[in-house]
Amino acid sequence: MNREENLKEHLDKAFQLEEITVHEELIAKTMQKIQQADQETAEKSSFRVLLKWGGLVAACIVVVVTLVIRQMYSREDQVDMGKIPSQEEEILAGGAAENAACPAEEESKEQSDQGEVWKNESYGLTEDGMQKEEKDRALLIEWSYNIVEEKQKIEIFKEELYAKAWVPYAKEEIVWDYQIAIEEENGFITYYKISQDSYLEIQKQDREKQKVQISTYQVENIDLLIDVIHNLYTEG
Amino acid sequence: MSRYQIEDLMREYGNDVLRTAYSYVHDLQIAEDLFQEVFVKVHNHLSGFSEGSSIRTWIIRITINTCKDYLKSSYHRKVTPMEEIFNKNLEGEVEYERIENKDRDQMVKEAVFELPLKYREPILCVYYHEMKVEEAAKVLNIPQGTLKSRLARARNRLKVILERRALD
Repeated sequence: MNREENLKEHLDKAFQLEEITVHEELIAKTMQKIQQADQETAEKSSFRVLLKWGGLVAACIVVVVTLVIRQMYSREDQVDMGKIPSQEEEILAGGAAENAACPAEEESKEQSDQGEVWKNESYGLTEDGMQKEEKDRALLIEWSYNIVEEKQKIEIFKEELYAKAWVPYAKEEIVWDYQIAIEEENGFITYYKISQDSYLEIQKQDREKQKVQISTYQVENIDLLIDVIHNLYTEG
Repeated sequence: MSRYQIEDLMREYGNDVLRTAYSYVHDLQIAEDLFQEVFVKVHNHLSGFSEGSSIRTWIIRITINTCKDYLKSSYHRKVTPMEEIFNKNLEGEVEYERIENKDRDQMVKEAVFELPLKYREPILCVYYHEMKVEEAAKVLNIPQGTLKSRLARARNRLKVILERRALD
């Protein structure tokens, strides 16, 4: 085609003739559309930012809630496994023999004392430069170990209690149903007298069979009673 | 990208965009809508444009893609441009008179527009937008060999159409 070189010229003229040409109104309209598009983009962008932060906050809440739930279940599991004491065990463990009548108060005191220790060590580094978390973990392991050991003692003691003959025993005011005598290392013998209506009397005697201490308690149930004996026994 | 820069681009390359769009859709109103769409895209993506290539070629490429998208869209399939109906009505009884009144430029334009799209595109890119073969092949997303053969066939067809019209 000989007209190749003139094609552009012909087409340009034809377009001009048909007024296929950019005009001011079209530019103004396009600028308006661009502004609208910019606004929409800005809105979308701010919505995205909102969505992003909202998502982040929601994720944080989920994580915190999950941790709290895990912590709760973990504690229950530890109680079940005997690694840490249940509330009931804490009451018993905290209640010294003379305070057995009001164990809640003693437990509260002991818990708050223990809480104090943990609180005091809950900031920053310790003197040894050990991370607080590591120290806490070490304490927890040690504590758990002790608890496990205590629990084992309880179990052994319970076995002994049930294995040895429970001797029926009678007294004027309280009808004692069972009696158990435990000889301690210092030569003292402790008698535990238990009634079916949950009375406990403890007598400590020296070798000459002289009574040195008599205490009487009433406890809620037989299992608690056994644990009270255990506490006295381990303190003894 | 400032307001003035995009406006400058519209003034400099606006005619190319509008006419390219028109060559696809054959309707000025739709071509103007596509023009707006093209420059919104240019505005949004200008930051990603690499300085190494020609901005004119880049804008034409966006235009061609936008036009093709439009032609593929369901909207285009449902809406028939008024001009098309008008032209169809003209065919027949007043055809002879209309052709008589056309000048040479119009005749060339109509001959180009009569070409099927696959031949029209290379002609417009190479001869109207004055792109190199390599550039046009990139814009049309076809191999250079295909572009060259289409260009040759398009020239032959154009020659036939123009000769026929000249005889008429």
